[in-house]
Amino acid sequence: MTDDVNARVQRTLAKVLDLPPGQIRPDTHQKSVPNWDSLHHVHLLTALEAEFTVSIDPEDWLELTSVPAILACLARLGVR
Amino acid sequence: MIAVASPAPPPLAELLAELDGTPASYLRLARGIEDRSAELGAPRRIALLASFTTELLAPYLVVEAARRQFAAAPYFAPFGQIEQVILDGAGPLYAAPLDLCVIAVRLEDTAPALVDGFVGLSGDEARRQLAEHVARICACVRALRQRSAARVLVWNQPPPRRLAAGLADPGLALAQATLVAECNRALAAELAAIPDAYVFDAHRVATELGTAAFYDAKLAALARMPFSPRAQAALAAQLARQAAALWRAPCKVLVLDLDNTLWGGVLGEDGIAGIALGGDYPGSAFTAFQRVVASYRDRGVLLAIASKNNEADVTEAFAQHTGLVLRWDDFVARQIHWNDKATSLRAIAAELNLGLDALALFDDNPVERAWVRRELPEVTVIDVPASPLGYGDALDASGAFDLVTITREDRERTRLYQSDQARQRLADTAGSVDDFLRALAMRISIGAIGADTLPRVVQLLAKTNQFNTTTRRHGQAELEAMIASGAIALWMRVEDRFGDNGLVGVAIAVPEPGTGSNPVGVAMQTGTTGAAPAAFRIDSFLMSCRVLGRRAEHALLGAIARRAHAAGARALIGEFIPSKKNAPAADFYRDAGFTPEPGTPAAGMADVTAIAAPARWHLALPDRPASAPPSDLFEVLEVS
Repeated sequence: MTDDVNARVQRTLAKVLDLPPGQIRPDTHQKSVPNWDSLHHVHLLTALEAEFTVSIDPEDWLELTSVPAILACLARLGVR
Repeated sequence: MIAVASPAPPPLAELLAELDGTPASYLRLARGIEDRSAELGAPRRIALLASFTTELLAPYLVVEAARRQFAAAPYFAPFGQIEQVILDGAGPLYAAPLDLCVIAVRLEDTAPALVDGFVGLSGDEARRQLAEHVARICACVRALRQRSAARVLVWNQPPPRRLAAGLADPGLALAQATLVAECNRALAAELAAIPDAYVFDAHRVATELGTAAFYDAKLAALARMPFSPRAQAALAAQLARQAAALWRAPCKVLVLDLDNTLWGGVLGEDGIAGIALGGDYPGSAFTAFQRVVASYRDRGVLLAIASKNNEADVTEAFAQHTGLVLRWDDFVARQIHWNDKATSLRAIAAELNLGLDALALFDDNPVERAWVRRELPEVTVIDVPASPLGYGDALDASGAFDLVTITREDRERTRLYQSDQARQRLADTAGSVDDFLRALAMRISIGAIGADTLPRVVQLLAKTNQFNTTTRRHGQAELEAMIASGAIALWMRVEDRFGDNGLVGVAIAVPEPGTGSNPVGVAMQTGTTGAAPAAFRIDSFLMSCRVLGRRAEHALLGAIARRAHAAGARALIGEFIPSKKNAPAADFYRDAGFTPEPGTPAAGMADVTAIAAPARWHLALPDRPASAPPSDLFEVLEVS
């Protein structure tokens, strides 16, 4: 099931940040994605909250700048 | 050079069908529909000026605009800088022509004392601060109006997230909920006096969603965006819908099926006693839908029937069934027979003298809807849900009849068309057209367009397609600017023995630049400086199809000619710009005695689709003052 969460995160990133799905890797970081600016960060987090029906803590918002950080956060929120 | 063919982008409808309402799908789609001018026309530039951050609305706005068939090019002003941006005449707001300016100011941002500090304020102090808020916003709108002809939408106040007095609010001498309502009423009243400025009903959007789902404390704290993603999508959808209504003509006729649409069951099989209408469910659901339809009638939508039935059964049902809200006379056209629905819709359009694009069909049967979509793509076919409980909402959501203002003519339209039918019976018995026109005993009044007539005039400019020489859709502000710079702008009303047709004609003539001063030196009376023009060019000349074929257009043209003459001009220039629909006006200037200017096709122009270039016509005005052309067909009264 973790693979499924991983795939859904990558799909959401691809849609929000306008990247071909193959270009997002398990270790993708904000620094390597030009579109990932502060405005798109807000779009990305609202999109992840809608995709997984979770509410991400405001303290985590600014920290979720990579695929591993997002996956770890979702795991803490009980997403399997 | 080798040209590399890029794959054709998928059709817009296909992309829009992918939308699932999630933020990710809005973002993805917003990119997919960039540069769709071929399908959506040139992008409309829309500015958002707000007391909060609006950039996050971009994908929602772009996608919802595409769903309403236009391309949106949004410009987001820095938050909180409404006055600065409007007053900076050389600034980014005016860097390109602006189609729409949206102003959104929340009390929470600019007058927090009226929100969380509400309990500490006296009623008088609260009202004083409220008046200040409304005055500030309207000053912004007026300042914008002086600098731009853009339409303006101003957000009213949504219900507050919390009530400062909590449970005690309804019992306060001035409840917070009442204060918000007073604020919104004051805003609407003051905006009504500013041309092309309208309320955007954010209060209604919030009410439909519920305040708990509308506000988002986290986005407010982290991104200065007070509204949830769902609310952003809903606000953008409503903005796009209202914007579309500002620059697109609505449908005019709601064509209704009967069986399983206006009542449950099949009349021909179940009989009058067997159909579901009134009483308990499911009859109650159809009664509720009829009440919704009646509200459309009341605001000016014409109703018609297209039903496969025996007409005698239907007339009997309308005469006898006590559960009907709609009466037989509410329908201005009725096609009740066993021919196909496309034939019925064509007949309704012909009978009412309207284009097929003026019709919207509401029919429960998906096969009929698919047939009409295929046969008559011009007709708006409304998606109808399976349950009659959803009919009213489906009709409302279609937006097919959206109007931003309702005029006196709208409220009286059904009566106007009923008198049309009496006219038709007279025409059927009259010996000749002239006999018929004389028997109508028309009284035509003509006057200068002023504040009282502007809303109806702008509405006619926006929606008249057939007898319209140039189809220029001037807004109120543009029209006022034309009048201020010397245009002759006239309205025409037509009354006859069957009733008042209302304000049905508009003519606007502007001084033609480059025609120099007139040879006789008559002073201009329009208050502009400089020499009188030698010619006036008729920028717009249009008439509602309700009075087509009555020669009333010649009375209006005569008034334009007399006033142009009085202003010193010795020539009139008539323009004809062909559109898909304005063939009825193609020969107007020729019939009125104008001669074609060089380059204008000399042959008859009934087939306007064959004419690529606009035509110009010329009419010399004699030196001696022109007098009203004698006519025994109507009486003409120039009132102002």
